Amino acid sequence: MIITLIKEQATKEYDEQMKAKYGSMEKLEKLLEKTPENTLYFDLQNWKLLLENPEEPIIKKEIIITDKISIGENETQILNIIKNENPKSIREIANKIKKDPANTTNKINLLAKEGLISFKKGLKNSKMPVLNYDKIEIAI
Amino acid sequence: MQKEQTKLHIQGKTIYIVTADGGWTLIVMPDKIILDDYHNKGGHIHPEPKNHKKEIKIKFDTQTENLNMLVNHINKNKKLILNELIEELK
Repeated sequence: MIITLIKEQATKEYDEQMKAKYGSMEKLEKLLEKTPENTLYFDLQNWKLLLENPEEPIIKKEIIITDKISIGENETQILNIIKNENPKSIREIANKIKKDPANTTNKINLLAKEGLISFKKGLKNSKMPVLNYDKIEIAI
Repeated sequence: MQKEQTKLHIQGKTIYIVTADGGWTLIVMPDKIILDDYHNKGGHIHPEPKNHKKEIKIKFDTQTENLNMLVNHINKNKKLILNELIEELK
């Protein structure tokens, strides 16, 4: 199964992320002169490439190839809830879909392990599931 | 052409791919090997992670062809064998 997670990012937001990381393109160029590493070269080339046509957004994709997960009705419901209802905890999701909490926790942890969702710290040390993409495409 | 930034997870590697009008680049992590065609100069590989100035010309210029070869190599070997990959790409 090939799962593609997709979202758009404004070029301006990307530019600001890179400035937060390196200060400026000129600073990155100087750093690359001193330390000619591939990772710095990659970041610099991409910064220049992606700043072209600044009014156009950047399509960001994450592609996961896996046979460890199947996306059925339960998983789709869970992903919809995470994306659209901002649940504060895994238990809240289990309550919303009226399924066994232990089973729901297992499904959510598997979605996280395969990279479809992530967690951030919620209230009282709970784990808040987060889905950072706008669209998911699945190919078999 | 749309501007795209893609992360592809395969056999424990992550390939970061960027495409735009001015060309394309991809890097295989954690190996830090780059393939690119920046400014449409023709495809090449940067095989030394600490020295981006080292470049070897490769036979294909498009991102699709090079990504296919890279993915096939990683799937076949379950890892990246750099000297073999270079021979396959040249």
